Amino acid sequence: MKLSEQDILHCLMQARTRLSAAAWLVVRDAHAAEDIFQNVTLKAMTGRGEFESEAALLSWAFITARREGMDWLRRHRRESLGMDESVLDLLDRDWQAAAPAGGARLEALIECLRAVPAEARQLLRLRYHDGHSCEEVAARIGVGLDAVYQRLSRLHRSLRQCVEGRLAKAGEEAP
Amino acid sequence: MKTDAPLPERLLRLLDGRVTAEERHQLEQELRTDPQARAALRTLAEEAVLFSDAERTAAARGEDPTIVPFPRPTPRIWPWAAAALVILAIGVAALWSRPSGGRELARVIRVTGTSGVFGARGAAEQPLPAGVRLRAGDMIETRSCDAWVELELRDGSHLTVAGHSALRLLESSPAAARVNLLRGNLWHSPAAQAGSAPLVVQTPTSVVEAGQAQFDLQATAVETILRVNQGRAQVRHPLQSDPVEVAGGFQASIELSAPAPPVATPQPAPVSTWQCDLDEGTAVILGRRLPSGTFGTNRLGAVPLLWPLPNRPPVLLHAVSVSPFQTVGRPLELRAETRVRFHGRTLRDKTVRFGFSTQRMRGVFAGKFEVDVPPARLGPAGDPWTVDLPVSAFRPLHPELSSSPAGLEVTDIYALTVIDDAGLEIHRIEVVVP
Repeated sequence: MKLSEQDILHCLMQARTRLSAAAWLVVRDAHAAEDIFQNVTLKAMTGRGEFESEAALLSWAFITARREGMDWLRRHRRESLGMDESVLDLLDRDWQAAAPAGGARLEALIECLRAVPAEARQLLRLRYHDGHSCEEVAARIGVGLDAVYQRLSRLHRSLRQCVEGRLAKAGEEAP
Repeated sequence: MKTDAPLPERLLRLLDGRVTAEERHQLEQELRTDPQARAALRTLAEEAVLFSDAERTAAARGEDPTIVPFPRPTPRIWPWAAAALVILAIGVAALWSRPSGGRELARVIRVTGTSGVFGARGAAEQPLPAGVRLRAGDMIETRSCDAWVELELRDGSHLTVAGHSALRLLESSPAAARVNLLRGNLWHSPAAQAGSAPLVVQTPTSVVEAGQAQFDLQATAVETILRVNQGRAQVRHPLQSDPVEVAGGFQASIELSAPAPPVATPQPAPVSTWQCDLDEGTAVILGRRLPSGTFGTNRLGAVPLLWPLPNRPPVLLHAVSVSPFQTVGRPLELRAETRVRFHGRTLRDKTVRFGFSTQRMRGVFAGKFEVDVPPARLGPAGDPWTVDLPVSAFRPLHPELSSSPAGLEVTDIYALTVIDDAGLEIHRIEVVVP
């Protein structure tokens, strides 16, 4: 049986973070990744493609997101990361097999981000929201490039621990 | 790069291209063979987009995340924790059921045809009702040719989004309102009072900025056409820093493949007649080219499409459609005495519906006009026919917009069969004034 419009939208919204992240790995620009996700959704909803299953839809969506990412790089004359296709394929496959993150993870991350000191938050904002390279971030905040990589690396580690801790705590406290 | 550096640090360097070929090879090999390494990269990418999403959400809510104090440890109080979880769940549900939080940027004031809105966080509201308030990140999609959505911006100016268009509202400031026209057509009418905030419209190939200007835009992935009817607007190619000013009565075409500064040219005068042989230069919206065969003419065969209808299942159509403006580069204006001739054939007996869509001259969508011609009037199936119709024979589908096509511009002209594929093909279209 073919997926209805509602099924398609529901499935893609469940995979929103994963699809946007897959696009981000190609373009390394969060706003462009969000645009690509919306374009993929639009194409799925308005195109003539028919999807027999959620697996088929997700497979198409990840391929399309990567292709749109490559187009975006060409249009904006940005350099491709050049990561091996086989690695990207494996990442997409892992993402397709992964369970939806759900709203709880996003909320947990938002709460964890609130706890990040302002200086560290500025680092995250410059790198991920404003889309600067680590070299540009280093120049803006006046520290060495290695220090930026080390700080970001520590921040990612602590964020992951914080999110996992919150999710575990929420799981414990759920009735 | 230190080989003993933590994996996230090495991945960050890889994403910045700050690794040697050897280091890249090693990291890629690690990613190929170690699911944990891939999980780390996936998490890093997810955190990047979620962080940006959280920043956008905070900005839309009017929060300044940097002033949020570092939380202090709090005692574990079970009832409060349970209540907080319930509130969180309600909050998440509310976020997903409404387009987004934050400052309202526009209000939907009129809707025709089939349209939908996707909230910044993915909530969908279909069909799009009048009265919906829109915020940064919300996206409107019009699903059919006759769909039409009119928005009122905060400064009182109006945006009209035509059929088959997608428009996204962007973060705006008191200094400028911003939207992203992903595809389709848009008209802007400035507020009555002077001094309203400029509007910035991004399209795939251009950035347009205008204050007190009445203009329209046609955007595809590769080209944008800006027509300024009153006032002045500035436009630039995304790869150019210097904008070009386009004054009232002028237009500019910005092609992605030509990153030179666009040139403003006078808008062409309308024509009242048009003979279309469907040659290679014809702007075909719907249809597939058929071999010329025994007729020795160009032929366009009907292609299937689903016609979305508000609150009803869609209808399958088989249609041929062409755009006069995109074919000749000049508006085609209808007069009261204009006649439209279609040359074509059907392979099976079936009523053929002929029609055209219109807009006001240099203005907004003005409705569709259609007429059904039964097979008895077309002659034996398989034989070529000519259908000669006065424009007065076409009934208005949106009489509230315009009851007569006289004085309107044709945006597309079409022929179709409903549900069944009758093998419709069109060989020539003429718009004449006797």
